[in-house]
Amino acid sequence: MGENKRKMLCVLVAFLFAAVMFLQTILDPKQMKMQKASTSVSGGQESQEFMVQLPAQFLLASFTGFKEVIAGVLWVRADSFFHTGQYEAIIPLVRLVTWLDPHNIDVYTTGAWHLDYNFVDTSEMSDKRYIPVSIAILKEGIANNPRIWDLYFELGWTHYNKKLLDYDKGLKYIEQAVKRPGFDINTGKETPRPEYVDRMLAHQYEKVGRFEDAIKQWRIARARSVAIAKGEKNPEFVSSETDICDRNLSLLYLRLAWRYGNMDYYKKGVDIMQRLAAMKGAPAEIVKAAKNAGKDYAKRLAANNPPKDAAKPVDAGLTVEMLRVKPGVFMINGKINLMKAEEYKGLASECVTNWYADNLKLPALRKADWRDGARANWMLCDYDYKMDENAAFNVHIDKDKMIVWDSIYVGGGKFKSGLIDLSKREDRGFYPFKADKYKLVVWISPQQPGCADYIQDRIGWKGEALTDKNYLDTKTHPGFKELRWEKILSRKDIL
Amino acid sequence: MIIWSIAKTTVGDALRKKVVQIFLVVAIGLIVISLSFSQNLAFSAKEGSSVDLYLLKGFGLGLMALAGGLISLVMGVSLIPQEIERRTIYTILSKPVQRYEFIVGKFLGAILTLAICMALMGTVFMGVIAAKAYAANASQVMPAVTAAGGLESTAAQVTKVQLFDVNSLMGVVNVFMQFVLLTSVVMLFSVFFTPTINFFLGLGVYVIGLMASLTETLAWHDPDTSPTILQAFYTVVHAVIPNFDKFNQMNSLLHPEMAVTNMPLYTFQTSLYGLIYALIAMTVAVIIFEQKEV
Repeated sequence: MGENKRKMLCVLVAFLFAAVMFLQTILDPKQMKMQKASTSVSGGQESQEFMVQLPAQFLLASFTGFKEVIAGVLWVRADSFFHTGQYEAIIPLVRLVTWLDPHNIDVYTTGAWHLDYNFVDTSEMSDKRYIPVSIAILKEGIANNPRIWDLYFELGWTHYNKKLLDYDKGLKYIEQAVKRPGFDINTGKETPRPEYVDRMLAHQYEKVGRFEDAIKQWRIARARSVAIAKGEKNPEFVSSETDICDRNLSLLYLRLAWRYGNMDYYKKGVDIMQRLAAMKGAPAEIVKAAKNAGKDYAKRLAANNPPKDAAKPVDAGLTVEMLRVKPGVFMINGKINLMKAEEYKGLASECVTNWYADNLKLPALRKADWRDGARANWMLCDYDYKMDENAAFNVHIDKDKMIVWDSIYVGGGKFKSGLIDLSKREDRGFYPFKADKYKLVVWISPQQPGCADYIQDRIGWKGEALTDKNYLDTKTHPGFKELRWEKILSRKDIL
Repeated sequence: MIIWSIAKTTVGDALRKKVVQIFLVVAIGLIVISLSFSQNLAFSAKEGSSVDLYLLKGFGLGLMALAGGLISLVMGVSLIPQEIERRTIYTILSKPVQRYEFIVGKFLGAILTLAICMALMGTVFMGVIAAKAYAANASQVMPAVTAAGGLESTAAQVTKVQLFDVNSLMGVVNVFMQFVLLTSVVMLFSVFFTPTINFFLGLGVYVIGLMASLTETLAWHDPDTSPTILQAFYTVVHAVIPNFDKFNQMNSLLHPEMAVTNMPLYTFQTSLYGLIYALIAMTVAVIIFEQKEV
């Protein structure tokens, strides 16, 4: 090779190297962005040190391209732990898998569910001390995957709604969920989020008493279902999606009318119900409800007699007693006037439910004096127990603390918990009784599942009709009337 | 024409190597066996098929990367020294063959061999994914929460898994380009190192290249806490050592819904990066080989 050729090749190398450097300046930021996106944000903070972003033993796996495989295998291993009842072993696996693969949504949702529900004592009461860890996992998942609706919905619905019965916080997260689209797992392209997410927001507005927002949201959800329906090939499925919105909106209008006397809403509710009843193949109960509600509406309109089912006060007459049976074993008994059968006499909602009239027709022995099914909630915890909902994901919980809650069925105006046994040797990890003072609370909230629709029909969504000379609580949840009984106990009172 | 002849001979030689055949067969065998991954996770909120596919894609791509790395190292280190050792290079160079034609022909033969191996593994891999996706689509019904809080089957809302997964194909392309680059580096070293030294040197460069994001972090570290000389050192290392980890973005490929950049464009740019780098390595190899006494 001549000198000139060699020089030319050297120049070529220099030129190509410059080209590589240029490409590197384009690729480096992209790579960093991807690296950052695939690095777990733990405890709300991202470490700047590369070496501490992953445990050292996973660095090799990471470099050789097997990181996600290891995450997948660990997740499979978690399943086998689940089957063999080694529940505690699953928590560090959830930690590792979300470190290795922060975009595996399933791990966050399943991990949080596991912590919420699967650590149970011998009486099947779950360990509530894991709830902050569950919240931390879901929040970490949201921080790692902020673009999608899934984890917001999971935190709002599955967690705050179903587990903590904290509808205000649930609403906050479901509002976030409906702002986000779904994504196609094949292409990463944006897809419409499932329609039930939008419907759930409407339910949530109802729960917190924001009825105008609920009406608006039902309309939005319906309009969205119609829009999505245009691209669907299955008309029956599409129809069922819009029908769900119609049925719920109709019921909301009717209940608002029955409970608070808004005749304009009554008309709107009847109109929607009649439209549903007129559809081909409409269920018989819808046809009957539309007919009876229509009649009741017309009668009341003519007589200028708007219904006010939740206007007349209901004296709850709550009494509660805690009986210590033996050390660590106690009972919670009480009385509450939820709900006497005669309270349903003449209610506007009867035009659709017909419960009172049907009950009257029953033979004397089967006739009910009470409409049963409410539930009283109880909670026993360390006096100073505070649930830290902003904690970072930690695989260890403070096992010196104690909190337990459950609910008791109300029948015949009474509730009896039966033996609540926190003394069993097997359950000592759940109930350490290390504190000196404890708080026992019994409460009934119109918002919560313990007050079903038929109870709310009489006392209102926010417990407007509830009264009680001793235990009416309007402070815990402003705008709502609840019943709350509290007792401070010493360790000696329980053990 | 001469280059093509040398390339063809190189492909034949390389594919006859028992060690290459073994890597290839074992990798293909394992990819096929991965089809049996079947985890109906009762524990998991999702259907088992999603975990299956996820494992399968990660495992397949990782396996191809491992096999590809070993094949390119084993093949690359011996291509030129073997000709010198066997003295066949004298026969070749005594004919009207330019030295650069020999180098380029060898390199072309090496990447053709890699391409054949990757095509075989990639075809099996894509086939395995398609088979799994077909089975998943046939069985998958995702539950949805109804307004009342219960579960309803919303078959119309289930996202079908695509039989042909473009992201996996991009993964295969990235794996291939990664080893085109590694082969070029190893061939450059083989001009002046023995195969054993070259194997470990190539492996070392590969491992450092896989840690490119670390060298980048160190190069741009806070100047208050890191000495300037160290920063300069890591800047040079980051610039000179080929960044193999740029080809290794498995997480973005497995979670296209979370991809923060345009993956086809990124794949194109990394491929270009690999090709230019390989061209540099081969040009330097030619310059050195032209001067070398054989």
